[in-house]
Amino acid sequence: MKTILIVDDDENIRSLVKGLLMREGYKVITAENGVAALAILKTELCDLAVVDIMMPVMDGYKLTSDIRKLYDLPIILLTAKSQIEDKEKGFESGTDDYLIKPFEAKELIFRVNALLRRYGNVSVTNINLGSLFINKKSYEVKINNKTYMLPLKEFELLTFMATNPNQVFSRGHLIEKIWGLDFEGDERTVDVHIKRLRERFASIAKDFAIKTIRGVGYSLEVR
Amino acid sequence: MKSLYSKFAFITIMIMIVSGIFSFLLSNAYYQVKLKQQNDEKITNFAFEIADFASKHPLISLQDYFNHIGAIGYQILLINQDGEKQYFGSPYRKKELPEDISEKVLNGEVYHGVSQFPHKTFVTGFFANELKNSVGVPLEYKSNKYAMFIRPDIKLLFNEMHILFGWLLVISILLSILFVLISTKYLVNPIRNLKKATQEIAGGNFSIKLDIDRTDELGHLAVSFMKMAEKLAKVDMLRKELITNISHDIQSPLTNLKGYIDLLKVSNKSEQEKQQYIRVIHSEVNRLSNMTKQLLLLSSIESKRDIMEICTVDVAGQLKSVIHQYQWRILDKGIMMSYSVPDAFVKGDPSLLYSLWENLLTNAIKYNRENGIIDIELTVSEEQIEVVVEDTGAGLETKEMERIFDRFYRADTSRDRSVEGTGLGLSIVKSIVDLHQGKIKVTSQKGKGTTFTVILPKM
Repeated sequence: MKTILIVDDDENIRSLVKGLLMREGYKVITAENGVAALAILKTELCDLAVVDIMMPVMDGYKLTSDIRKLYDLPIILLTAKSQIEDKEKGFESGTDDYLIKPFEAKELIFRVNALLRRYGNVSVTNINLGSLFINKKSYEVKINNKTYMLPLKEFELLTFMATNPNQVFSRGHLIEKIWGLDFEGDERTVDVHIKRLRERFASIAKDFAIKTIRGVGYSLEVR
Repeated sequence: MKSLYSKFAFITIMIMIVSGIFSFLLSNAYYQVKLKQQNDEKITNFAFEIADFASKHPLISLQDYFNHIGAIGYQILLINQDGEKQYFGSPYRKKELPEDISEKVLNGEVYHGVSQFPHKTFVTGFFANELKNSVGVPLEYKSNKYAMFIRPDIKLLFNEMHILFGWLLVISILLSILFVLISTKYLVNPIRNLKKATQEIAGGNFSIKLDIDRTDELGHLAVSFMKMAEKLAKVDMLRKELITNISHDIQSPLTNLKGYIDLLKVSNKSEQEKQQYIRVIHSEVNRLSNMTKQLLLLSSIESKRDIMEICTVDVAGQLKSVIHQYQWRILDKGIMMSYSVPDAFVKGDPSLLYSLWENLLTNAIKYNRENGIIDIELTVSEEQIEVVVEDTGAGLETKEMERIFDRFYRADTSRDRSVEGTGLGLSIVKSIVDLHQGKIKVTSQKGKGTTFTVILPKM
């Protein structure tokens, strides 16, 4: 179970974020200011920190740069200021991401998940397949100088098949690999995603294509 | 003395009086310096002429002769060797003479009383009816010596002219005062009209009509004043329209919120229904929050018109940052985002440009279909950059395209709740593009998608 540290002086925000993240299955520790947060980090092993900018005692920028110096820990800055200058200041102090209040629950969870995923894949190798370049760390695909951001499952499907080009996978295998064993949907889900990938890349990339192998499954073929 | 009219009239009349006094003083000085001498010479000539005639015609009685001359229009004093004085003509008002003068004249000297008459600021010697102000010449009659003092009887000679000039002066003064009063009224009246008009405007009536038809400064003022009133009327109308729109757009989500909260209070609803209500409440709150944010932005754009913080903006960096910020929403909707943003820099206001990209992108997300595509392409040329944002959304009709940049215009006229929108986004986009002297184009196909092209000069 991943542990997330929440630092915010507003008790309502703390309990809101805590509730949201606990529902997603994370263990949550809260601190009400920067000094308390640094004290907690000395004893507890955390995987990610959500830090508010406007705090008494020590503001979020200072806390972020202090955490950066001492720990290898992804940070999301939480801010009520939507000014671009503050974003820049945030990135300068070393944050990985920022979130603007008022935020949606979905957005918070998306960013936390994405950041943890990125920090988890430290030793990934990127895939280069003809004109297709897959950056597994940033979850982006590049074809001919153009960058593509795919919905998560489509990206994972493409990446998995591109890791093993020309190999045929059954629908069941793909579901197990991409959606996991406890996925409750049927194999039609795979068909839908494959269809979308085909539509998306049909006119863009000519040197690879996803082939249907009748009665067996799918394979990514390189021409 | 409060009105401009009375001030103006007073000042003009004062100017007339003061200039009258000055011109009197100046002409008096001119008389003293120049004319007095001439006058003296002229009278001296007459005096010699008269004296000459008397001495050459001993047959004529001196008495008769001087009575005659006195009747023609001279004032004369004749003094004989014994000091006896005889006056002819109308009498002098003052009869003093400087001492010894009669002695000197008897001994053959000439007395130039006119030119020696003392300077006085407010008195012209010309009219002074005094013996001092005469010319004295010696006269020999039947080998008796006389001193003759003479000056023209101004009153007798010039009386009518005196009256004529007097009337001329009085009438011209009265008439000019009258004309000043009238012309001042003519000058001041348009100002009075303007004042009335400003009061009208202050009272909220912008449809004023000024019938000031002049080509001078006041005419120009009136014209620009009417232009200002027109502009104010337009602004006022826009403001009213805006308030109507805003209150509608705030009232309707509030009405929904109230309604759904009331529904939630009733306890006999199923869990599923309650969730549905909460979703509606949630989306309405979002709409309100977005709208206030955008209104704030819009008003800040308006006030920024003159105080833009111009610096070099990294457009590619901004676009990537915006994409990153909305990544979750893009992917949440199953949209594939593609972009190609080579390094590009323009001069502009960074936070406004950021809002520009933000609005274009959120628009493309909002109106896109599930699992659609958004493509952002940045191209750089010599003098400008071009950002193309293409979506696979609902698209627009041709007649909708003309209005999309209007405030509060929404293509879904039914104010369809399926898409959260404030109708302000594109008007913000347009304002920002205009502020940066850029251009924005839109092409669209109903049902297929919409493409926005923003062109900004690098400057």
